[in-house]
Amino acid sequence: MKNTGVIFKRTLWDSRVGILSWGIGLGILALGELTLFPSISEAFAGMSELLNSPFYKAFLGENADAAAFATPAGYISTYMLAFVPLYVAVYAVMLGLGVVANEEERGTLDVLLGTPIPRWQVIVEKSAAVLVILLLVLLLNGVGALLGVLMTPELADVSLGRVLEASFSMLPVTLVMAALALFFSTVLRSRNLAAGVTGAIIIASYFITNLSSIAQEALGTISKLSFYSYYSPLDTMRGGIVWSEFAILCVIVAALFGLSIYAFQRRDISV
Amino acid sequence: MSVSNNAVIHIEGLTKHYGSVHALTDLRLDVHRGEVFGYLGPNGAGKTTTIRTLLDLIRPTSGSAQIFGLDSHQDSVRIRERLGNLPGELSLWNHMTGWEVINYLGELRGGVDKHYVGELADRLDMDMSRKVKACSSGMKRKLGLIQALMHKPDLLILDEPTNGLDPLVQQTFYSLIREISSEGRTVFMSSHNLPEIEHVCDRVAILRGGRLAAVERMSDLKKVYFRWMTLRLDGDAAPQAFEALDGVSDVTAHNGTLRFRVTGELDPVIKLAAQYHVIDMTYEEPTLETIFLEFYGEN
Ligand SMILES: Nc1ncnc2c1ncn2[C@@H]1O[C@H](COP(=O)(O)OP(=O)(O)OP(=O)(O)O)[C@@H](O)[C@H]1O
Ligand SMILES: [Mg+2]
Repeated sequence: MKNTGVIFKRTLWDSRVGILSWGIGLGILALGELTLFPSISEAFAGMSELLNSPFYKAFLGENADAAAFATPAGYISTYMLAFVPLYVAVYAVMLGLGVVANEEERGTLDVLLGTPIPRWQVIVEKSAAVLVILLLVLLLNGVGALLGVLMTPELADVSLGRVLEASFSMLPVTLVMAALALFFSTVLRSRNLAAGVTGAIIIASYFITNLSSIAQEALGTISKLSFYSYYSPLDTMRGGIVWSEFAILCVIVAALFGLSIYAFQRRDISV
Repeated sequence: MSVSNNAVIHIEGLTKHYGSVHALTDLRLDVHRGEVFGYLGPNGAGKTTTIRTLLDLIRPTSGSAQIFGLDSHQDSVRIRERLGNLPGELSLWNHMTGWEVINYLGELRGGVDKHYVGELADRLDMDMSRKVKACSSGMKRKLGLIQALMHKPDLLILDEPTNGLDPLVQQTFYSLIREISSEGRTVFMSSHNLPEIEHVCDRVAILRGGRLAAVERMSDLKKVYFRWMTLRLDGDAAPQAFEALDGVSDVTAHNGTLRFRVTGELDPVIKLAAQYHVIDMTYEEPTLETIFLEFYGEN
């Protein structure tokens, strides 16, 4: 097709400021956090009771483990990897809404779809751009983390490859967030509603997964339904990317993506 | 596929319900090649609903439409290659300049004739280097027209194209439309405005409450196209003299003010009035409703 890639390039170009500000921002954050490793890990070392309290478990899940926390891998997974997806969530949801919801709400879709381009192609090209954008942002985050490791003598044992892998391991979980936003904007037709529902699911999933580490019985089954349960920064820092979980998240993304196209092809475009 | 006659647009029993709102009911309509077709109706009549269905932006509850003999839903992409579209509620990308908008849409059409775009921009007096967010609503409308016309489509579908354009630009628009139709290309445009439709259209359809009330040639309508005229004269005029004129009827006289209905040309009325001292002369355009009531009342 003669127009292949036009929307993809346009989306990337229009996101250049976002990519740089989010990427560099996260990179600096990672760098800062890692260079603070010696002082923070020391301060928290004697606080095992506190860290094992339900309050901290809710926020940090299995990472709230004082023993692990004092190790470089535990520290990195807690400080850098447990929270970063939550920061990136904001951007990922915005990107997901950017696939169709923003243009539909503003009304520019009527002009865009006046050109000879099928609806599915709009979703495919914009989503491909979202994938690249998140990759770039996580890469910049990883570069910041690498610099942090290099600048901190106490982290000398940490493998640089592992750090990059850890940053890359956030891709599927953030893609799920973007795909949720896309899916709900194709089904609910309202940008605000889609943003609200997606945000609620992300937060619920995050807490269900973390709390299930202290309430195995009550939450064990339901946590299997929570996509955050398939993101394990501590395991990734210790043994590399957990490919089975990586694959599960990719399947979720693919399913949401497919359903989005299915729904969008069939419905009315709002004015 | 039944490609009936040489209809560029063939609409067959098109119906669209939004829940309990019946936006469009069993619409049947043919628009022929080279025609400028006016689509008239009051607010909420279903004009935009029809147009957005033709563009496959919304899906009919029942019925179907063919454009260039192709199904408006199944073959929408192929149809849109040969179609230019100006939405009624136009929204363009605020962060882009006029040229960026045109280049983006042009790339999606596999290329853009910059020379022709420049020519259109000149004729419409449009500043293409301005960002969309800095454009007035009339300027956005002009940009919308340029993007609809830029690839010289075989069919133009325009939803209230002159809405917000100043009179000078409207005139330019009318001449563009006439050029397009003289090249054998087809125009389907909606409007609220009867004089505008009268000015450019060959045929006109009237939509009311989602139903087609009438489809007529403009030349036939003009025969019953009448206005109410009020003449204020210095001194008493004889109503009978006006009553006797061709096309004048329903004369009433009151304190030197005459009010009557004129059908057809104004010339005889003006010539007769010139014999008096005219203080004031006004006339009211009839609404479409009344014209159509008249048309169907007399036939
Ligand atoms: N998305 C929608 N949901 C519910 N009702 C709708 C929707 N879109 C249009 N309608 C209704 O369908 C009817 C036809 O609307 P439409 O926009 O086609 O009218 P129109 O002839 O274009 O009017 P206007 O001259 O005001 O532009 C109206 O009653 C309108 O309220
Ligand atoms: Mg309308």
